Amino acid sequence: MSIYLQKLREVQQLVKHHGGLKAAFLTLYKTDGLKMGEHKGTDQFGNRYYENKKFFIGRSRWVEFTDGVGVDYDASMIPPEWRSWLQYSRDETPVDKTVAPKKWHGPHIDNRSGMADQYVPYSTTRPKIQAWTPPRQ
Amino acid sequence: MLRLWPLARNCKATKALASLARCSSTGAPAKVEVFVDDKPVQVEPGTTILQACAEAGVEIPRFCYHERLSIAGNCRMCLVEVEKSPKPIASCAMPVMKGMKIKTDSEMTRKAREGVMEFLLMNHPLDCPICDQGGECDLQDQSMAFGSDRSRFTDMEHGGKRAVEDKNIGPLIKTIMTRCIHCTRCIRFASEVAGVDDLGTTGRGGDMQVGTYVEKMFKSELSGNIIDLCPVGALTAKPSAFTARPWETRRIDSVDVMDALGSNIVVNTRTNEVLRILPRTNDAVNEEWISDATRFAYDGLKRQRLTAPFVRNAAGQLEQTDWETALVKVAQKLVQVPGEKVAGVAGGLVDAEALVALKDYLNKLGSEALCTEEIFPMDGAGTDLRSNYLLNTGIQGVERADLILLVGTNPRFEAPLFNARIRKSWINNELTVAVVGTRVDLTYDYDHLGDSTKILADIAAGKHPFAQTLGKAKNPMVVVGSAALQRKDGAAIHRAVATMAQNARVQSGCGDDWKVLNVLHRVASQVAALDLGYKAGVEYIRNNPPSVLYMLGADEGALTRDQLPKDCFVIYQGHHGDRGAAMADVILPGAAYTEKDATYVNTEGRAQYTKTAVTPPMLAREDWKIIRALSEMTGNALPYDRIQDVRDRLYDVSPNLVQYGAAEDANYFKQAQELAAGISGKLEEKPLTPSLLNLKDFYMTNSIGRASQTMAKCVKAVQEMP
Amino acid sequence: MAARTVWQRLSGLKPALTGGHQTGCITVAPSRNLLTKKQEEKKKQDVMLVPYRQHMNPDRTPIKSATPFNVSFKDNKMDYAVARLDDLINWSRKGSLWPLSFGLACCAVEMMHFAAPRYDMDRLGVVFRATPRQSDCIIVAGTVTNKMAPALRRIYDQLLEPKWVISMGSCANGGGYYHYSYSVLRGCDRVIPVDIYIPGCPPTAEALTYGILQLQKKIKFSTLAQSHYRR
Repeated sequence: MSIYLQKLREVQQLVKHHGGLKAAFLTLYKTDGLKMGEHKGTDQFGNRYYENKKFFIGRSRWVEFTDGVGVDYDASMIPPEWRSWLQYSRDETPVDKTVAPKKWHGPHIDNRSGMADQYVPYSTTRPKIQAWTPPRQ
Repeated sequence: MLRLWPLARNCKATKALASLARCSSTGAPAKVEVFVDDKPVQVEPGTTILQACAEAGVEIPRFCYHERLSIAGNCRMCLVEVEKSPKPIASCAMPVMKGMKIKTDSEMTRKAREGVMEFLLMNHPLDCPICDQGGECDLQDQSMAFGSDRSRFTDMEHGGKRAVEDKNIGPLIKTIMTRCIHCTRCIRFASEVAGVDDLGTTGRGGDMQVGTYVEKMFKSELSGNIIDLCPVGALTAKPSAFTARPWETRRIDSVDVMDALGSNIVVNTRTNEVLRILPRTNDAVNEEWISDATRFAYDGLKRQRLTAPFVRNAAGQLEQTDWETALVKVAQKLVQVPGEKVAGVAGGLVDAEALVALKDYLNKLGSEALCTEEIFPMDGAGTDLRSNYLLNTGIQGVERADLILLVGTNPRFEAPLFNARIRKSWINNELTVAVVGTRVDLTYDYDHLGDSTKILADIAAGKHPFAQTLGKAKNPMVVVGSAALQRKDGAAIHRAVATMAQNARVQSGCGDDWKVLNVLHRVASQVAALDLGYKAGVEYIRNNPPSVLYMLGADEGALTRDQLPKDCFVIYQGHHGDRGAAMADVILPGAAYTEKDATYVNTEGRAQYTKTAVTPPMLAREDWKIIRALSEMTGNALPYDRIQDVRDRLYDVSPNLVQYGAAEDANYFKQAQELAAGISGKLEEKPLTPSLLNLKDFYMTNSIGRASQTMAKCVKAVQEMP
Repeated sequence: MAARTVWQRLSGLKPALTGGHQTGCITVAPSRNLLTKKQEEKKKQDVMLVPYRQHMNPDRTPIKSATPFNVSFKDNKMDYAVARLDDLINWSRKGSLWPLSFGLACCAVEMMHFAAPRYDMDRLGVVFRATPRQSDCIIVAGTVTNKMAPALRRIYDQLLEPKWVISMGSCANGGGYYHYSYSVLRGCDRVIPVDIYIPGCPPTAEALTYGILQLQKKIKFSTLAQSHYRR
């Protein structure tokens, strides 16, 4: 019986952690799971990163994507410094130990495929047709 | 009489030789029976062994022999064994004899071919991998078929192979003379067909060289044909050097638009790019030659192209836009103005489909002002009777004629292959040529009657001595160039020419099926436009200033901005940024002749079609489709959606426009004569001068030629090279 | 791309619809300007870039609709019905992509990893089939040789409609390391139309997973019923 009570308590904690029944349900819908963990930081896009070492490696670090995207989240929205933490390449989060930006670092852009501003490879071949340019007046 | 160097011009003795060599004998001779590989064949006496074998279905290998050139017999590749002959015989030069037993696959024949091939290859470089002829090289093919399977050439240390310095004969033909096998096809072509005795041989034996004696340009409007004639890679095309192998290219049959003859061509393309243009054999039009403009102006299709619609903005600049913006802009304008204030001008490269679409559309809007840039007198019968504006005799008819009078035209540059026909007939058929107009080099002798228009009136009235000559001729032809009809007194010139033609027709008693009056047009679209009922010349538009002018490929500057009202809205539809595009308010990019399925009617009224060889560049579209789209936007959609529907419409207007390959003849000279009586115009004093006088004028006659760098190089070379 | 333009075309018919949401609703991934902060950060009076979110409580953020076809029921009932039908079709299609395993080279090993428990393709509804007749997708994993090209084309033709193609790895994308080989096809898109290109030599199993997700996203935008209805 006490096991069930404990489970119930866990659920209660989870719901509380996620900010109410409705919010918890939303998270469950979006991420297919409810996990409780220590909030390690938020990146510039509003993605929230959590860690709970009770889980085994591979599941002990996770991200909750920013609210604006709803269910249309995409792995490429995670900036590289957070990604390296998330995938256990680094032990420290960018909050614990900032990553010195290299001068060749550009701003992080997520995968725009399918969007109007998607990346389109440019052609390096010489144009076969030389177009007419109207005379300036 | 064979009027050919080195055979003396008036030597009667040559006549027998000529008939022996290439003419069919008169009368109905008995056929001769010969045996080709024991197979009996009936051939006419006088045919050569090679031709007899061809009739029997056996092809003899050859390098120097060419059907349309005289026989040289110097390559020896066509050696065959003939029974009872101790030595193998050069079949191209040997007439058949009764009961001859020809063996084309005997041991002796094979050995002879192998020997000849070995001699040829001994002094031929082994540079096939870098040779442009590779893949379509007669030497390559025939050494595979008839040559030995191994080389005995070992003389690398001493003499090595023969090497000959390359000649510079102009910007079109690249020469690698080491590859030459001395078949002399190019020399024979130059002196027989092109009529330019520039090429020849120097030295003999191993020192023999084909060249121009001194360094000079091969100045001929047909020069490119020697590239096709050359059986090896000695003469290749300079503009398309090292671009593609022939087996990589796609070949699409098409029709040329550089002049009004509609030469049949094959467009070679690869990766959506025109790589070269080759002739296609059509005995009725171009035999198997094409002019240099036809062959080499294709690089103009890649330069100065209209690839997107343009709209003139508030600042007066042409700005690139998309189709929707441009068409909406045009449609708004067309809806605003009354229908009769819209006018259309068609240029020289427009196809019949676009012409009929524009005409239907403007007629739907309520306008009748549809003109062509090229002028043709509209007085009297004008363009109502087809026989008035066609080359009625046909291009092939030249070979039946015995007298040609050329009026105010220089066919050598206005229609080079028509001129080649006249020269062919002049050489073989004792054709007499007379010219009224400026004295020009036509590559054959002619009687120059003068350049005054008064002579025309005299001949028409029967006062000139030439009128008698004309009357006595059995099959006379009178050819008037459309250049002469561009003048103010064009109607009077046309009447005079029509009168003398009709007189000659009556006097010579040539019968109803022989037509005398011929008009030689200069642009490809003119006959189709006149067939469709376009008004010739823009006089009508000048007199009735329009609010909207639709220029369909009109680039020759017949109408300029100054001649139009200030607020006139000019739409240009075409494929090149040229004179027309520069003055337009909206530019709609169309397709050039290699980029669309289109109908062109040549000067003799022969409808032919081009096929899509490459796609129109970027946003450019087929012309009739543009007009169709525009018509939908203004709310009076044209009733055709597919090319077949447009052609059905063409058939409704004039069935001859879609009877491809056939020249529908017209025969209303008498009626035209009666109607012409009302023409009041007087002949002017100005001498009759064709517009194209020299070779340098020939290359850039339309927007494609003007955009072409090759053609620009030709003009420069003609002026600068000796 | 196509998906976006289709959406714009749909919305273009109802300009009133587009007025409300210029931002997040349209995109499937966030626009770079779209930043939402946590509640405590919001208390720090962070300036929100998107005005209508300013007065929105993140805790009560409505779940963004999973459909890309935002057609209102009130405006046009038929359009709405067709759009929902499309949603249903797309959902069912993307939820059970059955690819034909077309392993040709080392990429195939990564494809096996994708199938194995660590990446567990089954959770995405992806199940390998060995025959084109049962598949709706083909993962070209590896070097397509000239000799294999006709077979690839034939297999593609045998796939039942609707069909998608994932080109996996440099070799399938454009010849890769063997681009200049005389015997290798310079990209499988010379033979069959490719929907998703996965870079890498070979791409990791994660990359392939991501590619599958991208394909699902693409499928989500297909307008089968709507384009039928509009025609």
